[in-house]
Amino acid sequence: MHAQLAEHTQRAGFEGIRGVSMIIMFEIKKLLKKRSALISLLFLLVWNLGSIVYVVNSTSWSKGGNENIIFGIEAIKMAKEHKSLWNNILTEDIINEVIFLNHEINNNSEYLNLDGRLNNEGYILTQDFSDIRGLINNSFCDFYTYDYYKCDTLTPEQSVLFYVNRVNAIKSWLESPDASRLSNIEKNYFVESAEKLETPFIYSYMDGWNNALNYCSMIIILNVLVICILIAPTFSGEYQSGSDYIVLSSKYGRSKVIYAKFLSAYTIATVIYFTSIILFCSSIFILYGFDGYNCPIQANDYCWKSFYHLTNIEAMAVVVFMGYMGCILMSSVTILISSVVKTSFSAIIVPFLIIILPQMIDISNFPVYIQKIFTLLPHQTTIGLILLGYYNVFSIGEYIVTPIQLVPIIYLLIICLLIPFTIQGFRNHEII
Amino acid sequence: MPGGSVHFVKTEIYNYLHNIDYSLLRYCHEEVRIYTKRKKNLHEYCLYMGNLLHRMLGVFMLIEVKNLSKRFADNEAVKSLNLSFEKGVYGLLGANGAGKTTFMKMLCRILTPSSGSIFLDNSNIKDLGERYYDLLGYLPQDHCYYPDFTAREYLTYIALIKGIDKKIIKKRIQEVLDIVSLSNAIDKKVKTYSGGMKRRLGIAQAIINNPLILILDEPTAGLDPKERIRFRNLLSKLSHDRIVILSTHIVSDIESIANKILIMKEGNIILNDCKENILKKIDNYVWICRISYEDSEIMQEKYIVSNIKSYSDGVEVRIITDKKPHETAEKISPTLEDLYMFYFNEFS
Repeated sequence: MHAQLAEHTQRAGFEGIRGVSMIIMFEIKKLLKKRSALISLLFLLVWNLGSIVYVVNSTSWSKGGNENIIFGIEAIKMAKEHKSLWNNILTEDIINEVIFLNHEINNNSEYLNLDGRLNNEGYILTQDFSDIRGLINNSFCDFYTYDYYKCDTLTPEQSVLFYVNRVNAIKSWLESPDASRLSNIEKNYFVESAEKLETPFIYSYMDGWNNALNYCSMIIILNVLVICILIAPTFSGEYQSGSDYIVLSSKYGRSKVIYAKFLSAYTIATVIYFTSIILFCSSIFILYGFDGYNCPIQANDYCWKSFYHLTNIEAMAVVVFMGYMGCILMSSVTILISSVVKTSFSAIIVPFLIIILPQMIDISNFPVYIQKIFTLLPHQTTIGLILLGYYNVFSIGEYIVTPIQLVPIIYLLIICLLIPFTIQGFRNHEII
Repeated sequence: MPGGSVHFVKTEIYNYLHNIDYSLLRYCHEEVRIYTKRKKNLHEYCLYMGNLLHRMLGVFMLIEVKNLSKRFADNEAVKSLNLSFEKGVYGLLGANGAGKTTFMKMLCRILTPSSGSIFLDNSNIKDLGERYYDLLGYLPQDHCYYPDFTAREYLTYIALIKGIDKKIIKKRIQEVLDIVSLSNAIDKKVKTYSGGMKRRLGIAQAIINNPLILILDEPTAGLDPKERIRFRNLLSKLSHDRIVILSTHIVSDIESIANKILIMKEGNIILNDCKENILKKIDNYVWICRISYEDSEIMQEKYIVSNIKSYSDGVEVRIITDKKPHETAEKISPTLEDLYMFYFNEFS
């Protein structure tokens, strides 16, 4: 009898886990079966698809003759076909060649308008190397300026300065009053990062990666908001429906049910977030191609000055991961509020304010420590590629920590702090 | 088929195995063998044995309430209650705001008392933890469902959170739905149910774990007379071998089924006895007389009137007072409704 009971206890433990998984399924059903949930998911799907259509339709390519400019998939095909001709290591010889070609086109009267600017035929010829031309503009402009026509003023001999300019521009900026908020340790870190960046860059047609990185922030931020709406009723839904009477007077109401609620909320957040991101990114890559995955992000116009040594695929992973951290943190905040308020509305409003409000505040005149705190707020995790262009780091003693290193640690700590309060919030809920 | 937690049953069996008479154990074993005519399943055996031993070995179910109070900001809803409940049906009668629901919430541990304690078999229910909830079934006053769930889904969820083994959940759901006559609507969404159906579903969830303590808060609120009669019959079936505490302000709900009646007023229990003894309190207080309509209006102003019946030649009034209110008045036997009117001085 004792042996049988011992065996049975072991089986009961295993069955206990299966029992929790069944409770999790019901908790997920509770959250997703609401009309508001279905509407939110539908909106997210429409937004996703709309974003893909927007990105595709934004891609343009100039053709000669009657067609002039084409958009969409045909433009994507043309861009890929022509830009891929320049796939290469971006040596100074290549820069030289681009500047030379650009110079030739700009000095051919056949390709100029009366105002001295390129006409359509001239522009068509520059499309093939437009990415590299953009990098050249970045290289020869000041740190915070960009002149589209800078390349037109250069000579091929100046190509030797292409990579040197980058380091010098960063150094000049660090010595300027604009960088006064940075400590010496931080400045040295940026200089070292600039000097150690591997050059020459690998260049490849990478419109897919550019678009995915530039536009995924639209997907990330909406995901965060929609997920908060979906999981807001995790606890407050029980209060609203009156089911808290039953749940809190049941055997597992203050134990397994709470764990199941957490797991269900995080499961929903994770599945929806990654489904959304995968849907968006896979659509982009199917249409534009995976080319350029191993190019450094500095070969992207926006990230020319970035101090992160990442390739496109690594940058994509970072952006997605940071967005996910923001999503999980906001989910945790939402669940906490849900456990202490009576309605889901409050549990939705607070996360919205946390995400939206800081984006409306101009922090440039705030003290440095406030600016640093702002860079750790959840809204920063939703801005995608822009995050990799910011010159923000944290010095802890003699060590430098970047936001993409610090945010996951801090957020995980905050989440670990929030969970016990959430559990207590529900356990101590009194039905008056 | 009794429900209950394996852990609880295992602990109980383990504790008792070394102490009980072997012949009694054989008796229990035989009863289980007869009860389940298939090959013994250890799990089901434990479940049934646990409850059976609990009853057979003289472990009585006794709830004791000691100096229980609950104070809110500006109001003391429950004032220092001292009560005990053994097996049987207890009707908790009182007007709105008497403190019944507050008391029941404290019994269910979803509201913390300001002072005092509740004990089950000499153990504080706070210390019993999940074991207490294992024995508890609660039907709250208000509807508490997930509108988009079907009855099957809802009861499956409730069964899971009450710790019922997954192997017997389906069977148990069918059993309770048969008891409350909702089998035909098992796969319909709860939001499509009528008020009476929702209430029956509530009773189903309250009994799904075969609780030994059943707490029902105004279970017939919003039900039509037919539903109320059906509920009374159902409760009679369920009340065997349990503690059932039923609160209501509808006298007829408990008149025929309660073993003991507790009258609650302004947070206090003013009467706590069986129906016959309680009614003796107003034995000589209830009068019936036939008077004119105009006189009846005067009577209503002067006395407590529990009923007025109109006739072509006047009205028959039922008056509660210690002195003969009218020369034509005759003394009659009091009912619970008369008692309610006497103490609460309002219509039930």
